[in-house]
Amino acid sequence: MDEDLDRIRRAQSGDRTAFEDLIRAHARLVWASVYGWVRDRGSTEDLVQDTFLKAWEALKDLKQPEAFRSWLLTIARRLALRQAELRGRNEPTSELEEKAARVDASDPEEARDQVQKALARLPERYRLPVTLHFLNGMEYGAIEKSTGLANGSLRGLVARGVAKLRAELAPWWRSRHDPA
Amino acid sequence: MTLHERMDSIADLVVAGGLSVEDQAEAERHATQCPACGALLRDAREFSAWTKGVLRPDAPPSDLEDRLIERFRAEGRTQKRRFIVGYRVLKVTGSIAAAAALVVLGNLFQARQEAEGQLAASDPDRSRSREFYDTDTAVDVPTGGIDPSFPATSSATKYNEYFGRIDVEGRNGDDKPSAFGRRPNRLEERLGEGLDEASKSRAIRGDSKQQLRKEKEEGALGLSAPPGGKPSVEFRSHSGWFLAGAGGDMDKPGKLDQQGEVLRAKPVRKNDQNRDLADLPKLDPGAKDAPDPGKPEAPRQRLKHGEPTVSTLAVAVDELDLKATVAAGEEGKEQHPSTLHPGLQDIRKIIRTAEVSLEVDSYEATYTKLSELVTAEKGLVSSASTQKAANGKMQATVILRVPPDRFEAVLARLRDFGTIRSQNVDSEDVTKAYVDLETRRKSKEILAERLSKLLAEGKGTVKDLMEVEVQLGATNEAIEQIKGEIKYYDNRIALSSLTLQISEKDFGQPFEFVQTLQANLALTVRDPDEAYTKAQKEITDAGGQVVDSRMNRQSDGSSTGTIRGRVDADKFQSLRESLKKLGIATNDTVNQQKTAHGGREGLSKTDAPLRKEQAVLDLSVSSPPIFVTRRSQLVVETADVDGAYQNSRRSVEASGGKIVDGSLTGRGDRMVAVLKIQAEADRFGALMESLKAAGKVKSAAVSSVLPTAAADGGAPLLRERAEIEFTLVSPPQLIGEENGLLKTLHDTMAGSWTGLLWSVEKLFVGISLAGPWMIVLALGVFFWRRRRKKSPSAAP
Repeated sequence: MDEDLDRIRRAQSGDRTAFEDLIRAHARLVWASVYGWVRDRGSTEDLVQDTFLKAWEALKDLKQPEAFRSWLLTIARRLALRQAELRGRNEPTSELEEKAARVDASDPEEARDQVQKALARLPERYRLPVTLHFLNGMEYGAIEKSTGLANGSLRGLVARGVAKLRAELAPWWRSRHDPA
Repeated sequence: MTLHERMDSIADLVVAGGLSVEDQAEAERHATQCPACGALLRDAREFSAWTKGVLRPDAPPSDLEDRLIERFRAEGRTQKRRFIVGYRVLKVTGSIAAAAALVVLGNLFQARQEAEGQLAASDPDRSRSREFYDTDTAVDVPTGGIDPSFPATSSATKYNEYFGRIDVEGRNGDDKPSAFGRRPNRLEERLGEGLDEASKSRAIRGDSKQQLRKEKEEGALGLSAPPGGKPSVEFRSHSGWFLAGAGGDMDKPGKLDQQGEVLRAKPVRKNDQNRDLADLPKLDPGAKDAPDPGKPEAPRQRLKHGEPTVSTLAVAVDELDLKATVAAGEEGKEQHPSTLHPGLQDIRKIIRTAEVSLEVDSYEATYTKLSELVTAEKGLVSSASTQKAANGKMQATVILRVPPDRFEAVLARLRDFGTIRSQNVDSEDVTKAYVDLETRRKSKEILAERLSKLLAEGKGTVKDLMEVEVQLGATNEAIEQIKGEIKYYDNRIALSSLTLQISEKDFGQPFEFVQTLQANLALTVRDPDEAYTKAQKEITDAGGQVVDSRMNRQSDGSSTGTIRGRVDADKFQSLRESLKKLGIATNDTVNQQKTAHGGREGLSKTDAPLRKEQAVLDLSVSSPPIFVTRRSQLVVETADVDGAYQNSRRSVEASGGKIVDGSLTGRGDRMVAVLKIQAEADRFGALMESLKAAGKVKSAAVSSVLPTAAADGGAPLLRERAEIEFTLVSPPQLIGEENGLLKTLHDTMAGSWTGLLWSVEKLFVGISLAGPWMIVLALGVFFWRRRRKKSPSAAP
């Protein structure tokens, strides 16, 4: 974290290389965060890029460098919400629910849709570590490093988050695994 | 809680590797021993694997970081430019400028299109020319055996009109001497290419739009086709060349060369007499080297640069014998007809006109002689209108029509009738229009004939026959109209018009002069009312009449009377003198005018009689002006300023004075009253005394002004007035004016306060001026940023 702080401060003073290091360190975290909101790979990448560009523009105004990660995720969330809001204007809100009722278990697209919706229904604090684990394929240690959460609290979040996700997907998942 | 009991809640954590190494190993070990826990763990693993598999497509790319950094660097490069003020502005401005340029270009293009459209609309032949461009087919016609100067060629087009004619015109300034006196222009050169290949039946191809456009600029092309029949083609070159070819089926371009046959070709000089084309000698097609019987012996050397020529070529197309002509556009100098082919003279269609202004002794005699002259010359008097001037002289406009060959002779004879004041002879060459009409008539007649045949055959449905009938009617109508136009031209060509403006001598001389008199007389009189009455009486006594009179009175007691009277001119002077005696004249002017009636400007005056109109006399009588002869400034000190002020006002009014201005200012024991008084000069003394009685006189100044003497040296007629500026003041105060440190402090504070107020005022003015702009700017930035945030960013 000290190393991170140093990078943040250097980036704040205009060091682009330091900011590039920050991008390397936080890109996947931001990806996971954004994905939880937009659930679309293309948009996610765009939003991640926008998040970092925005962060670079506003970095000088960041008063607490130690809060960089949450600040970055806030930017990402705002951008994602704004995009979701823009999209929502063109999409009927009831569509997702209607689709859920007609799920075809053998269809991978439908499966992903189900998982995405289940992830989206998770409280945000669970969603990020769970997404990092399932989407980014991160092991516990990597998640811990990426989110900067203490071991104890992260453990609880992961355990409860995955449990909630499983509970959400249970009926559908079971029907897939036990067709009989 | 044992591991077994916790397994349900930690299974996912175990799969995620969220336990310490020891706990992890223990959980795994327990799962192998406990089937239930083993199932839980297996379930968790399966779920984890499945979920990961499902989400894999959405997993971040392996080179995510590199891509992000690449984009960040790229943005950095553009970001630098972004901060250059005006980059985006430039971009926007550039876009706007580009859009504006497009609009302007579009307008220009449209304007050009419209201009062309209008041009085409104004000339039906031109409108067709566009169709010609739009089609893109050309056919070759063999050259006939004619003078190689006239290669027969044809450029026909797929011309999908039932009947049509195309005519493209233009000009070429590049005329230089050559075979026929000057070098052929580019069109001619192109057509001339056919010369070399004439024997091989090669002709010029006008087969591309570009080339056709060129031809539009350089010369002229004409094409006409009877309905469903063979087309004839005519080329027109304004520089004097002409070509024609004919034949072929319009719908089958390329076949034309099988059927075209050039019959005749003639160069024609402008201004020569007309002759029917049918009289032109027939050429032997194919006999290229045979001499042209209709060709002049050696015209090439005789014609010179710029020589206007008309060439004609008659073409036979199956049974049709159509003519095509070209009229030279340039006006050249006259050339003796003998140097030209006699046949060329026939084609010219010239309308000759002349306007002559003639001065004669007697119109009647001249008219008789004119009638005799035109009768002798086989002409006629077309119209005559006369006008008699007030002096009894005659003027007339006579239009004579005489045969063109007698035109010059009649013109010359006019000199014997009187003096020619001006002469204007003009000739209009209508050959082109005439030939056009002829061609159109023939084509229409062919059409009418074919339609009649169709009708006579009676084949087809009733509807078809009806349509043919309608078409025939329209065609016949068009033929009649064309015939009418031809007749009009024939008439104007057959008899030249001579418009004579005949005036008798001294027609413009005046027959009388009229003298008008008008006087302005302004009098100053002691009693305007009395003078007003007396003046009116004087006018009526002199046998005149008062036309208008009025009396105005002003608030200062002065009055002015105005009278307009009319009197016979001979009594004008005596009346004016007697009126002047009524008072002192301040203005006395007389305007006299002599106007010639019935004459023409610029002609010398003669002994025409002088007629005097009644004189007009504008008189005004007014009171003498006010003149201030005495001025006084009086300051009086009194304890009771208010009371003294009121008393003074009363005494002024009582003594006949007039208070012009009055003011009372101050309060308590510090008051000032000012009165401005005007009074008759003779009451000045008494008034001053009464004012002085108001208190203690502090100062009194009197000045007298003497009026300047009247023009005659006597005392001027004036209303003398006196003016007094009367001031009443309270006695001076015992306590002096405040001064010292306190006053300085007070003044400074007051000054400072005023300055502060001033600053605040300016501040508000500044805010009010800049405020709205700041708001607009802020809103603009706000919306721009918002828009930028909302728009989805482009993927790298």
